[in-house]
Amino acid sequence: MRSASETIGEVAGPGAAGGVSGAVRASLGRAARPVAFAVALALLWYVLGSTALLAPRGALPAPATVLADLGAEAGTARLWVDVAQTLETWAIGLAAAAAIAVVLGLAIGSLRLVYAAVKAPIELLRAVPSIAVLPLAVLVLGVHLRLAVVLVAAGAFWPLLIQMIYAVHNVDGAALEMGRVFRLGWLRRFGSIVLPSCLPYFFTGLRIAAVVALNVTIAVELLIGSTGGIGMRIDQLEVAGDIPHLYAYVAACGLLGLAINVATRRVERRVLRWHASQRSAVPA
Amino acid sequence: MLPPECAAVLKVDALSKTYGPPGRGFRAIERLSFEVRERELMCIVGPSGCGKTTLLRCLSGLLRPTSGAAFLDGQAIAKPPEQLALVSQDYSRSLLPWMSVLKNVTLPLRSKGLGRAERDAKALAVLARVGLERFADRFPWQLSGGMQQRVAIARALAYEPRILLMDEPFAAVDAQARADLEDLLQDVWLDYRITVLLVTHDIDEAVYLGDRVLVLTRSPAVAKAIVDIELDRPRRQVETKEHPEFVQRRAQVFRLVREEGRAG
Amino acid sequence: MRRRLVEWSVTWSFLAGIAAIWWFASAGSRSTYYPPLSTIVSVFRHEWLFAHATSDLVPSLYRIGLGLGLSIVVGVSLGLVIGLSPAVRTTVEPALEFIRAIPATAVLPAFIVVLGITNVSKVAFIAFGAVWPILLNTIEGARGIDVEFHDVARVYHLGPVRRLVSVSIPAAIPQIFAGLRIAVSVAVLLVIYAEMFASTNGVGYFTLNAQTLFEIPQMWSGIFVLAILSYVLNGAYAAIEWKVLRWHRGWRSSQADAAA
Repeated sequence: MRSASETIGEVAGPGAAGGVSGAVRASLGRAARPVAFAVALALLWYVLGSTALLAPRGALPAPATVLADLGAEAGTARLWVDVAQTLETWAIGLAAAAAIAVVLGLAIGSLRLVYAAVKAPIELLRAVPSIAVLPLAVLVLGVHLRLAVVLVAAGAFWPLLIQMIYAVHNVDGAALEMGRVFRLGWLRRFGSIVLPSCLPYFFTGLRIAAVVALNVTIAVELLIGSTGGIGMRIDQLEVAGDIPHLYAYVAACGLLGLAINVATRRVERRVLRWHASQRSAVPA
Repeated sequence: MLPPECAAVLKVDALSKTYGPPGRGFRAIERLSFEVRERELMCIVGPSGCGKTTLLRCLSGLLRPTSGAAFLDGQAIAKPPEQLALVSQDYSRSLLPWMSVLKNVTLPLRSKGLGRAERDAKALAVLARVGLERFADRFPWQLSGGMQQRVAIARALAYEPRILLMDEPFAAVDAQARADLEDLLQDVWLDYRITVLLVTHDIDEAVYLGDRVLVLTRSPAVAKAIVDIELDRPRRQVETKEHPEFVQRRAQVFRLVREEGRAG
Repeated sequence: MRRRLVEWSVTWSFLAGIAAIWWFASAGSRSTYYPPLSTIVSVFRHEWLFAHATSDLVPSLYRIGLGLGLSIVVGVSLGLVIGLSPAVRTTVEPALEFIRAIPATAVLPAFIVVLGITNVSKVAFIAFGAVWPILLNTIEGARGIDVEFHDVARVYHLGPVRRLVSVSIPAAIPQIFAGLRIAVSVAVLLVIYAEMFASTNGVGYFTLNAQTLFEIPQMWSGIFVLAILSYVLNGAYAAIEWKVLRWHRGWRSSQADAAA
């Protein structure tokens, strides 16, 4: 196996000279290309929007307008109230899903026969997006906030459950045996060996679930239109034909999503400091 | 043992490799010089971490030396030369797992401009030579470690290189298979009359296989000594290892390596 | 072997048990929201075999298929280019990080505004949502190719095309498939969502429409179809992945054995 130092050594070289100003210039140079690319994209957008090639006039407002609108909205209460509402729905739904999924997942993963029994229903149910049940949920729960929370929780539940079951199944057999050799009681083994090794899987599931939860939150807000939040606002703006503000709010969603990504990654890195991170599929 | 007048296939001239910024970096190799002669089987040993793998990567053109150079038939090695083949230690990452054994062996032949039938024929011939013709359609990972390394050797041989570099090729293989592979290497080396440079940490192996053994110092590695092995070919696992020359040379190399291992 | 059989029979008897309980528990139901299972099944047969299968199921499948196909083509090709070239990757990555963070569901109205309430806008929307897991995982896969494989390509002088086709792409395929798996479920979610928001046909539309018309058994049948559709699609994907990645499983387990 190649050691890291060999690959690093190959990359090092220029940039060592010049001291501080050299380092600053180097990092500015490194930042130039991504910035240039972003500007190029914005330019492309502008051209597509103004020449009505792709879209009817006004459907793609100029990036500058959108940014200005976003900036203006950030100064008002409206945007923040919406963000807060969406975040609230998202957080409650995600937390509820996590709590149930962890408990159930650990239980199912640990009990072989239970797993065998519920395996098939899980495979069936996890494939169904919670949105599919929206019509029924509207009837049963009414057009309330709890409708959104329930659907969010339902969507976020499955990836977490799957990951927790997988986690229990993947506990290091050697470590468990070591626990038995040292005559650790069942509870001790669970707490000291099983739970810590399940943590990385929990975070993988959490990352996936967080994305699903945000998507479902906005989808429900958009479809139902009376539960508040950014989704509802976007729908209203579309109906009112206020396109630049619509894009501004979509951009705000992006920033919200980014913030959630960063926060989750931060927490994960903190908690899993002791653990080499595991390769897993990159959620979107 | 070959007479010293034989031409040098590989010439290493004051090769140095430093990782990291000059002056502050890690000096793996420092002004190493030696030669490998035509049709010779030369072994390189040294204490762990002394830069054997670094050296091989420089010689195979995969790594650029910091200073100095290596020459293959007089041509400086800046990137992998066409006349060179490499067998590395980790066969599971060197043989492509999505291809059959046969496809793995024929892959390098594609760059030689041969037709499909010709490639397959050549590959099957080499696979027969290493005793694996029955496994041509299997996947490498379906074979044992020793067999996989034989496939890697077959792939290198089919390529018909001028020089074959081997980086601890038998280290990841169990002891029994190792002995078989050593003898196989000796056989094909005699048959195909190629030049071989083999890096190993196993001193017995180096003395058993080599015409000459180059002992490296600790990093920064330079040539500590070159030991001539005056044993007749073909060598045998039991008889040769009882021969006084073997015992003597083995002890000599062992002492040299241990000196380096202890120093500092 | 025997244990497998036991587990298998437990699985299916449990499923059958649930279905039976549902059937009998709901048999005399007068509840508006939870009609008897028998009613749902007969409505299901009536509506979906085969009238609405053509008028609603086919459009949904068509949108998923086209959207996924588009996202695969774009995602894999762009992902390979970006993943195999560090220069391109550092240039493009920050912008991608932001765009991918936008929740796909928030973008639907924009697509409607730009492309109208047509199949084009829905397919484009689904493709936009499904491309991200594929793109990101392809980039990861192309980046993470073992250096040793690249070494083999260099030492044996494989041309750039041969290197791409015989080394880079196969090495990245396991990770690409991981992304594909996610993309399938994303596509299903987005098609249902898009059909509920702005469509005149499709299974999602049918289900929501049935609810507004208070045709409860029909709504349930729509939910059933959605469940079956998702399950079958995911299952079909799993079968394909099983076949294609057979070499990967064998390779990984032989490495695990060697390490043991």
